[in-house]
Amino acid sequence: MTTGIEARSRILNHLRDGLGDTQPLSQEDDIGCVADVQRNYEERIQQFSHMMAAAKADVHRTTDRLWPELLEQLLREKKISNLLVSLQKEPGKRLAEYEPDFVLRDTGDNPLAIKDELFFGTPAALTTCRGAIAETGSLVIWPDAQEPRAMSLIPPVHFVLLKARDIHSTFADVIRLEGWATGMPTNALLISGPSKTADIARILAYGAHGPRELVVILVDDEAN
Amino acid sequence: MAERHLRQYPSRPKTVYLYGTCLIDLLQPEAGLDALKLLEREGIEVCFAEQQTCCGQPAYTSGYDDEAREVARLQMQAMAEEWPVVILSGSCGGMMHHHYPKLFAGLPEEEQARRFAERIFEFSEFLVHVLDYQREDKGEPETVAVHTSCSARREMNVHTTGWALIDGLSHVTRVVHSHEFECCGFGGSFCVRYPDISGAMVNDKVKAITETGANRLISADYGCLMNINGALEYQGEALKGEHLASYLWGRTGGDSCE
Amino acid sequence: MNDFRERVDRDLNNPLLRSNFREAMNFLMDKRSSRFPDDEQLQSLRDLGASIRKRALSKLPDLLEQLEARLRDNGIRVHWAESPEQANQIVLDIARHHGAKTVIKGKSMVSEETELNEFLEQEGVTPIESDMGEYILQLAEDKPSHIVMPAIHKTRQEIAHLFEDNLAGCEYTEDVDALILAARKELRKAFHSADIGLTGVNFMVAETGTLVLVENEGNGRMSTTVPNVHIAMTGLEKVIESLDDLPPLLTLLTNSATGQPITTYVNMISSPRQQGEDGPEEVHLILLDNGRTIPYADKEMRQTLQCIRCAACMNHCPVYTRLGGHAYGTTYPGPIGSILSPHLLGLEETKDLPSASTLCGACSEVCPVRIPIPDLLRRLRHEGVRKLKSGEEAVIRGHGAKYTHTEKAAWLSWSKLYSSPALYRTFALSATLFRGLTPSRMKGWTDHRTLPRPAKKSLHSLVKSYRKQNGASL
Repeated sequence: MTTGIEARSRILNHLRDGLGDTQPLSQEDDIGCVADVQRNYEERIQQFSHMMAAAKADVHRTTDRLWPELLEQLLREKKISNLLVSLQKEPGKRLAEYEPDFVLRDTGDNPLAIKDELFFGTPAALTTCRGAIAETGSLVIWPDAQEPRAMSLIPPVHFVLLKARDIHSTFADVIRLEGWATGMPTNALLISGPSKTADIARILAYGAHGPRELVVILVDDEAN
Repeated sequence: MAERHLRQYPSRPKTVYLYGTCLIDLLQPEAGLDALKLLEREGIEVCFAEQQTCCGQPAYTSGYDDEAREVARLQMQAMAEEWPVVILSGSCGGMMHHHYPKLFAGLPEEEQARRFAERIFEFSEFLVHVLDYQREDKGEPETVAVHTSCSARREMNVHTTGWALIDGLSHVTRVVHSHEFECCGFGGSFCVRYPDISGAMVNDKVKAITETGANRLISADYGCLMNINGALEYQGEALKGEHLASYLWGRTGGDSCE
Repeated sequence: MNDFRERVDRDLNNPLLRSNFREAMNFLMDKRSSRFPDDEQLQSLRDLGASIRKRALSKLPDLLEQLEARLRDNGIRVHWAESPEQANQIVLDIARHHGAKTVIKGKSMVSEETELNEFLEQEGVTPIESDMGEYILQLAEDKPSHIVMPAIHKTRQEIAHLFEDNLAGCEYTEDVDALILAARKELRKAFHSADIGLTGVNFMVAETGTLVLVENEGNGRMSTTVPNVHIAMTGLEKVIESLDDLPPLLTLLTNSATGQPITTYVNMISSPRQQGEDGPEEVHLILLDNGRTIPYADKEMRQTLQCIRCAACMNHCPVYTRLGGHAYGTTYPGPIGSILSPHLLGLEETKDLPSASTLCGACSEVCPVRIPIPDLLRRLRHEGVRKLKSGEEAVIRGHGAKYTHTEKAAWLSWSKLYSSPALYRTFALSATLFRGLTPSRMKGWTDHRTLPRPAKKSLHSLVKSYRKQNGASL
C-alpha cells in the first residue's frame, strides 16, 4: 500500500519537525505515584472476593479436593447439563476422573472447528486462569489452543478455576512479577465480572455480549 | 507541572495595596471601602493606588493579549512597591497571580510579572492566612449561602478561606446549595456572546440558591454577584447577594459607608 | 458546523434533553468522585498520568517506529493515514481483498471521525455497530452525543420504540434486560457471520507491540476474536512507552470515565492467532493523523494529545451539561472537543467552540492527565483573533478565522481606556454622573437578568472623600 508508505514518512517528518527542541523525557522525570496497596495472602483473597462480588461475579472458596463436587452442585443449581472444558488440561482430567452428573465436552485441538457449537450449543464453559488481581477483582487469562479466547466470551456462563496463591495485589505486580514485558501472548485478558452495559438510560444490564454469569471457584489449599 | 504547591504566606505586613477591581469601582464601590476600613481596623496601612483600573482579564480571555498586556503593565506600575496586593476578587486575583507571568513570558517584564504575581492575595485568603482574622460576630442569627467564583476555587484555591470567614461568624449558619461547585455562567464576555447558555446556567444557580431558603447570599467576587443578582432581581426574588467584605464589616460592628 | 448557535438554541430549549443530560452528568460525576475518596492520592496519580503521557509525546515519532517494528515482528500489519479519506480507503482495500460484505464494529470514535460507516455503505460494504449505544444510534440514524456513553441522549422509551420497529419479533418493552437481550440475539448473528471486526484502541504499548482495548460489554472482544480479520483504527497519539505505564493509565481512565475500578474486559492484543489458537488470522492497525501533527508542533497545544478519552471533562462541564453533545456539531464534543476539533477541522469550521466556555476550569480539575483545557481554549481564542506577523507561520489551520476589524478596534479602545488613568477617570466620572442614562436593556444580558447601574460615586472617589475626612495615610 503505497499511500501508507508515503503517509508514513510525511507523518513522521511532521512529528520530527514538530519536536523542535523537545528533550525526550525518561521515567526518572515522572512525578506522582500510585498509592501503595500491598496486601497479605488473606487480605488479597478478601479484596479479590469483595471486588468480584461488587461486579456481580460469584466467588466460591473451596479446596483442591472438593472443587469438582462444588462445580457439580453449581451446575445442578443452574440447571446446566453440559460443560465445555479442555480434557487435555489438569482440571478437565480431574473432572473426567470424578465422573460428574453432567456431560463433559472437550474443546479438542482446533478451536476454529467448534465455533458453531460455541455460539449455539454451549451453555457453560470452565477455564483455568493465570492468576488474579486483588485490587480490582480481575482474573488474568492468557487463552491458548486448548482454552481459546471464545471460551471465556461466548457461552452464557463462564466458570473459572483460580488458585488463591495466584492472586496478586495489583496489575502492576502481575506485569512485573511475571515479566510480561519480555513476551506477551497473542491475547492477554483481564476479566472483572460478567459482561454488562449501561447504554440504555444508564440502567445496568448483564450479559450484553459476553457471559451473563461469571463464577469463580477459588481453590485455597492453605485454608486446610 | 502541576501547580499544587502549598502557598507560603508572608508574616503580617505593615502596608498593603487594596485592589478594588473595575467592577467594584463602578458598580459596588461600598464593598471596596468596607474592605479598606476592615483592613485598617486590623492595623494595616492601606494604599489604594489612584492609577489602578482593570486587571486586563476581559481582553486576555477574549484572546487579545497585546491589549491585555497594555492594561496589565499599568497595574504593575501602579502598585510597584513590594507590598502585598489584596484583591477583592478571586477572578482578578487569578489573572494577576496565574496569568500575568504567562502573559509576559519571554518579554522584558517577565521577572517583574513573576514577582508581582507572588504579591497577589485574594481578600479572604489574605484575611485567613496572613492576618489570622478573628472578630466577634455582632449580627442577628441567619443562614447564608455562599457562591465562590470558579477562579477563586480553582486558580486561587481560596474557596475554603471564604467559607472559614463565614464559619467564623458565630451567629451565622452557612448552607450548601446544590451544585455549589458549578459555574454561575458569568464568564466575562461569555455571558453576552452566549446569553442563552449563560442564562440557563445562572437560572439554575439562582434556583439552587433560593432552594436553600438562605436569608443571604455572599460572594467574594462581584462579577458573579452582578450576574446572580441580575437574575435574582429579574425573577423578582427578594434575595440579593452581597460582597464578603461588606458582610464581614457589617457583622463585626463596622459602620455602613452610606 | 457553522450553525453552532442554531443548534445551541435548539438543544437548550429541549427540556427533556436538558434534564436527561443533567441527570446523566450528575450520575457520572457522583460515580467518579466515589472512586477517588483520597484527594492526595488522586492528585499524585494524576501527576503520574500526566507524566506518562508527556513522556510518550516527548518521543512520539520514535515510539511510533518502535511500536510499528514490534507489531510487524508480531505479525500485525501497520498502516499510516494522513486523512480520514486515506484511513477509510485502507479499510475498504482490506475488505475488498477479503471479499468482505460486512464489517462488525466495536466502539471506535476514530471511525466516527472518519465517517467510515457512510463511506463503507457507499462502497457496498455493510458496517454493523455492536456497542449497544452505537447500535441504538445506527438504528436511529443518529450520532453519538458523548464519547463514552454515545446514546446517553436517548430515553428508554425511544429505544423501546426503535427496537420494536427494527428488530424482528421484538415487542414494545421498557424492560432494559429484555431490550439488551433482544439486541444481543440480533448481534450474535452478526458476529457469527461477519467477515471483519473493526475496533478502536485505548492504548498502544510500544515496548511490546500491544493494542489495549477497554470495555464492559464484550463486543470489543467479539469483534477482535470471532471474525477472521481484525482492523484496529486509532489516532497516532495513543502510544505509550512501556507496559509499566499501562496500569496507572487504566486506573485513571476507568475511574474517571464511569467510576469503575476497572472495566469488565481489558483486552490486550499482541499478534494474530498463532498455530492452533482462535482469533483473527490477520490483524491490521491504522494510525491516523488527521491534523494531530499540527498541535504536536506547538509545545502548549501538544498537551491536547495527552488525552485518554475518559470524557470526565464533558461530565463536569456546565456548558456540555446544558447543551448535550450534538450542539457542538463535531465528533468529539465538550471541553476536549473544543480544544481538539479546531486542529482536526481547522478554526474556520470550529471558530465558535473555543469561546463557548466560561473557562470555569471544572474540566481541568478532573482531567486525569492534567490537560490545562481552559488555557488551551484561551490560546485558541487568541489564535482565532490574531493576525500573523510578517514571516510568521500559522500554528493552526484557519488561523485568524474570528478576526474582525470591529472587534479588534473595540479591544484597542478598551485597552487605551484602561491603560490610561486619566482617560479612565473621565470615563468613571461620566459613568457614575450619568448613571440615570444607563440603558435598561443590553443585548443578551437582559434576557435573563436586570442590568446593574453604575454607583453614584466610584470607589476611587469614595476613597478620596474618606481619606479627606479621616486624614489620609497613603
